[in-house]
Amino acid sequence: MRNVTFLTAALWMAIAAGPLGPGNANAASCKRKTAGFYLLDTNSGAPRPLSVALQGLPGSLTGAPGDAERGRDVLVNRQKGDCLSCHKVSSIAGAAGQGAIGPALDGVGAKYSDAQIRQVLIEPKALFPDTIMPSYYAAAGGSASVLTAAEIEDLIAYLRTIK
Amino acid sequence: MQPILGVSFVLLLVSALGIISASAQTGARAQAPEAASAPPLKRLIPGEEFLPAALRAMQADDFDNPAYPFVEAGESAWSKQEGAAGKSCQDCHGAGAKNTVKRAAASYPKYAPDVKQVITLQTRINLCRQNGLRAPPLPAGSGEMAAMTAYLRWLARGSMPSVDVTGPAASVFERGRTLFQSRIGLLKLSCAQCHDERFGQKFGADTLSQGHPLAYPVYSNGMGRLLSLHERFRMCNQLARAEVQEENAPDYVALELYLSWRAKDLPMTAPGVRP
Repeated sequence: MRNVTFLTAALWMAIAAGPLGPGNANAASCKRKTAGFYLLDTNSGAPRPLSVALQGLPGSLTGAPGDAERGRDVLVNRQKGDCLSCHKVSSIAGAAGQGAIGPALDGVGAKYSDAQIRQVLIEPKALFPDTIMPSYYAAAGGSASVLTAAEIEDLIAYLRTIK
Repeated sequence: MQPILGVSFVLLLVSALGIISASAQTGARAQAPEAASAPPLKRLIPGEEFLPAALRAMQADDFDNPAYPFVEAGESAWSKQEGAAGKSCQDCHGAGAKNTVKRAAASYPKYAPDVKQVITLQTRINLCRQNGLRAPPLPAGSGEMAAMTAYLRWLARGSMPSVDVTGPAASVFERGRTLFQSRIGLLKLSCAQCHDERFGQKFGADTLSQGHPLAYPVYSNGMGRLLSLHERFRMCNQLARAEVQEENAPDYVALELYLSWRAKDLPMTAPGVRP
């Protein structure tokens, strides 16, 4: 019974924290205040770190291992993967131009297997239902796929080098 | 017993807060147009808030703002005789303090009974040229069109968007709202995913804004030229790897109408400066 009371109180607090609420629920993320607006106060949305146990998708799409050097170009190239628009990779210079829509990819190669990374690239929403990350590979290929099978494998090979 | 009593008191207090907050919300909603439900953004944040401080300062100072020469070019074009009728814009609309269309730019896109459709400011300029001045239309993307829109939007600076989304504009407005929510392109992204749900987050070197159209046309510092709002739409479409559309395409007019309504409690700040 007391749990229910607590829940109700929490619910009211959530509602009260709306337009008239203190608005500082994310005070830590209020980077700066200008002209009376808190830039991040309504939408802090710091990406969650990649830390869950991921299901994998074993088996190279091309039947061969990828090439890490070509994979780096897939990651950086704005016409290909353009991964840096949303993810930070500290080992690549130019942090100012790297986004933070998704989690930083530092250490991704040590944490996850080829199969797990392949699953995320092909169908991220299967693992993270709320993610904005699109699918980068469609089996139908051609213009329906962001990257080719070879580019996916190259990208996996490069991501595994980010330890 | 004691802790439960304490909790009840907190609950009461919090409930009261909730009621105050709910009534404040109702008050805000009362100002929204009848045809549309409450906008998705709880708090409107001007695009300038998401800019690096140097660009924000550059925009705020007319002497530093690189878009300002377009405003001046537009102002001199306003009083220049052109076309077979031997008239200028000023002959019909006045100039300076007596400009009768000083705030008009804030009301576009707008349903125009003469052509029976919702049109942008650009289209109105060209209709005036055709019917009033008997002069050829200014091509979309031309420096002359950029100057005239920059001038007229600058004249309306400080006004809130006064778009009418009811009556004959209602279906265009709904089309715009639907488009804003639609996942498009190879990356299957919607406008809302970035500009309703992720504003404030870092996308590449930039910070995602709420996507208000009030500063357009803007001077792009990186590209070194003026960008129309529809050009910004094309850039977003390209980021989603979607098809781009022409200036004043029906989808873009609908989106501009929706965005103008969505920003209706913020003042116009054109011409802006962007990265």
